[in-house]
Amino acid sequence: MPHVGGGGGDDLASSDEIKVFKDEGEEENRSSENLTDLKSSLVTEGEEDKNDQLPVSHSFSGSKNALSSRLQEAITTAATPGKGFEPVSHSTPIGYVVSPYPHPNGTIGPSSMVSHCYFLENEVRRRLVSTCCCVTCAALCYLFE
Amino acid sequence: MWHQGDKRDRDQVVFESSQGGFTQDQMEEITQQLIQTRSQRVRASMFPETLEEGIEIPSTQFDPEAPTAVQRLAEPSQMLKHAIVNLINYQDDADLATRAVPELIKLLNDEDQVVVSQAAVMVHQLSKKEASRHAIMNSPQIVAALVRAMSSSSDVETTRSAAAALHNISNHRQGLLAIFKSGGIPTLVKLLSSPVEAVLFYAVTTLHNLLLHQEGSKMAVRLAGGLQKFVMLLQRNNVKLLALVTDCLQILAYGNQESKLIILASGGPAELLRIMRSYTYEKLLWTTSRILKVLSVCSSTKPALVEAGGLHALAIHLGHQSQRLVLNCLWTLRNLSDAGTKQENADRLLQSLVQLLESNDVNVVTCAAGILSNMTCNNQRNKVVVCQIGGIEALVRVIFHAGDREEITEPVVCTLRHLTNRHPEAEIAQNTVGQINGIQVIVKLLHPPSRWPLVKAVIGLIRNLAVCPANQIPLREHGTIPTLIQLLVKSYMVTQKERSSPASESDVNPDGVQMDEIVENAVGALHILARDPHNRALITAHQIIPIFVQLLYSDIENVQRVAAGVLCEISADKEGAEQVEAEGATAPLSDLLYSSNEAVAVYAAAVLYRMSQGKPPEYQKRLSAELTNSLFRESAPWGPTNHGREANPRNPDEMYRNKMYLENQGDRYGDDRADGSYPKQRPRHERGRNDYGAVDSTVILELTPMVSSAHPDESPDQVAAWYDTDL
Repeated sequence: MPHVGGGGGDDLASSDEIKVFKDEGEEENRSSENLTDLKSSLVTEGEEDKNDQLPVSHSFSGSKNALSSRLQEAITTAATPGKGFEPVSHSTPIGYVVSPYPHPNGTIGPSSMVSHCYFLENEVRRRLVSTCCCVTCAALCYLFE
Repeated sequence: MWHQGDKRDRDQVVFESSQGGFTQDQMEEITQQLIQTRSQRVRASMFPETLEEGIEIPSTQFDPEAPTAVQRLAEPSQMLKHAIVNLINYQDDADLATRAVPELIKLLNDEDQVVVSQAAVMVHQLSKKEASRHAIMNSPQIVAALVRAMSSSSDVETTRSAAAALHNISNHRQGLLAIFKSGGIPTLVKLLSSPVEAVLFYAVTTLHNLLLHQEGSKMAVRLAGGLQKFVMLLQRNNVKLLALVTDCLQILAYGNQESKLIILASGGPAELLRIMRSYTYEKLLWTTSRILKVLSVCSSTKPALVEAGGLHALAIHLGHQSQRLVLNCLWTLRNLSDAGTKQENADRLLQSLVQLLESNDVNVVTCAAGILSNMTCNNQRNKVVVCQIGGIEALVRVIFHAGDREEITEPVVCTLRHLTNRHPEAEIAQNTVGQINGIQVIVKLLHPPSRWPLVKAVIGLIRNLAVCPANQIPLREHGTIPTLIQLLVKSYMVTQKERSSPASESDVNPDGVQMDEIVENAVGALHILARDPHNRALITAHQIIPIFVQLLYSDIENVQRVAAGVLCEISADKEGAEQVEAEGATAPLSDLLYSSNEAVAVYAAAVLYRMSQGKPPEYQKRLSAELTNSLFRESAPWGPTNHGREANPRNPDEMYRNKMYLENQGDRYGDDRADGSYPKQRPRHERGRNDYGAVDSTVILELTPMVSSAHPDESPDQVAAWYDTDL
């Protein structure tokens, strides 16, 4: 680092020396990653406060019903033949069949839990017949017969 | 197992089990039953949740130890079931989202604000699930629509949902890019002023992700006025928010001078220091210390930080258990320290620093020593405080443990050099070093592998230590004199070579140290060492006097001064004086009598006087006259002396020693300049002029008695003619 000469005084001793340090460190972006938890926690806090302060209703009034049906229509008309997707009426626009896999961003509102038994069996059968060709899957199909 | 029995005896027991024996007919019936209930067993294995309660299914398991094939397949088939369901749902999500996106874009751009709001809510919901999130990220149009909705909407719900959706996609590279490309940054920066906390939090976290991972974001945030907004947010009290905001500031300001100036202009330093003083949340203290570190290298923000009490605020945390916090505070303090030498009440800081010298962490010790070096520079009070709290002992201990790690020993030696001169307890400090057996380990640092910056600092310290008479013996015993002479010769040769033929910069200034500074410091140290008669003899025996004499011809006043000074000591002995004269010192010394530097003139006079002892009285008389003329000439820069004073005839040696005593002791403790300024580095040939305090005029007066018959009307030029030398 550069040295700046200090003041003199006693002519017998060498003068005191100031050192100028300019150590900014490294660009430690990597260490910012442990703020990830902080960010999740903060947005959760914001949501919780919002839930306290701003009661939001998801109920559909006039135009909202129209919206819902518009969306539903879009989904239905875009459904491709042979896929076997049956538009099922749900209380929220997006419903799910059984969702056993984890939801990292928190669960969606009340999922529509269609009866596991028959819907699931039908779905599995349809999908397997149309897409899968492994022996195990074929065996399962056999087992259902 | 069982097998079909003979036809002739269908009533015969063909199978035995714990339930008793079974006939052929019975077995056939059982088999039929089992076949019919097969699918029930499979269903029970794969989908137990679908069975009616209470139903009893016959089992094919006859051996309790041996599970049936279906039983063995139960677990793997459950897993397969789950995997397939997951696939179905994932694919559903993705399909659904992909189909919904175009429609959602239209809805987000609708004129009806309620429609927009609900569309935003839907997009937010979609953004929470992985598969549908990908659909959003892969659609630049929907991201742009979200940004637009967020920007133009006055509805809180719309803004919040859109911000939340953007936050969700900002955890992915694709999402970050989409946000960046659709101009999301200026909108997000605007939202930093939102009164709705949820919105603010989303904006901050999204911007943080962008700053971390999306190229171009830093510039965009700066251009959008993000720095000022972030500084405003420093007034908040939410510690998590503050941690993110300070981290954003650090990312923006690192290596960017303009950003630092903007932060300064917005009042950043005061708020950041407030945080350091007020909070205990470690993450926040750490992130804040990092932005402070970045600001502390800027020459404009540095004084502002010091004036706002930065040294004290940082010193608070030097005892914290978080090592990363302590280190960042130390680095920041070190950066600030050259601007902080005038700070009052630095006692707490100094105390902590001396304690930190005991640390096992190299970085901690190095920083602490560097800060101490600056804090003790030209500051008497700090020097005294450090000495009184055991600083000398702690520093010497560091040298013991540091070995050849120069990054540690150099600032430590510099600090010791400061502590051993120019304050009321300097003598005690010098003595203490000797008492704790520090001299050997210090002298060792003169040798390789020490590089020139360290060597230079050690020479200066040795010079100070030699002032204490008790240290002269250990200094000699540990071979200081031969080593110093060796270094002197080496550095002198380089300076001579440089004069005769051009040399490269690294030859003349190896490791960035000027060799004529080594020459000056080495001779200065030998000057003080030469006070001891044994040392004098040793120095003389090394045949170094010729170099001392040559140095009298130097252009640099400092070099002239130390050379004349050491010759003055050497000439205290008769043999020494003779040798000095024999080496032709008279001529250059006669010139130096007329130096504008008073110390140089006085030393020169003293040497000439000593050399004249034993010469014929007439010679001595003429010399005295000459000396008087030179020292008391009107053109002397140190001004006329008080001629009316009564003076006692005194031995010039004693006068000289008095001069040395006065200068060492108390009347000039250092140059704590009132205005706090520091002289800038001056060219070598100019240094030395008026840098030093005037020699006490009474000492000069005391030289006059040797002038028994002065010839004031004789001009110096005429008198000089009697010198039998080539001038």
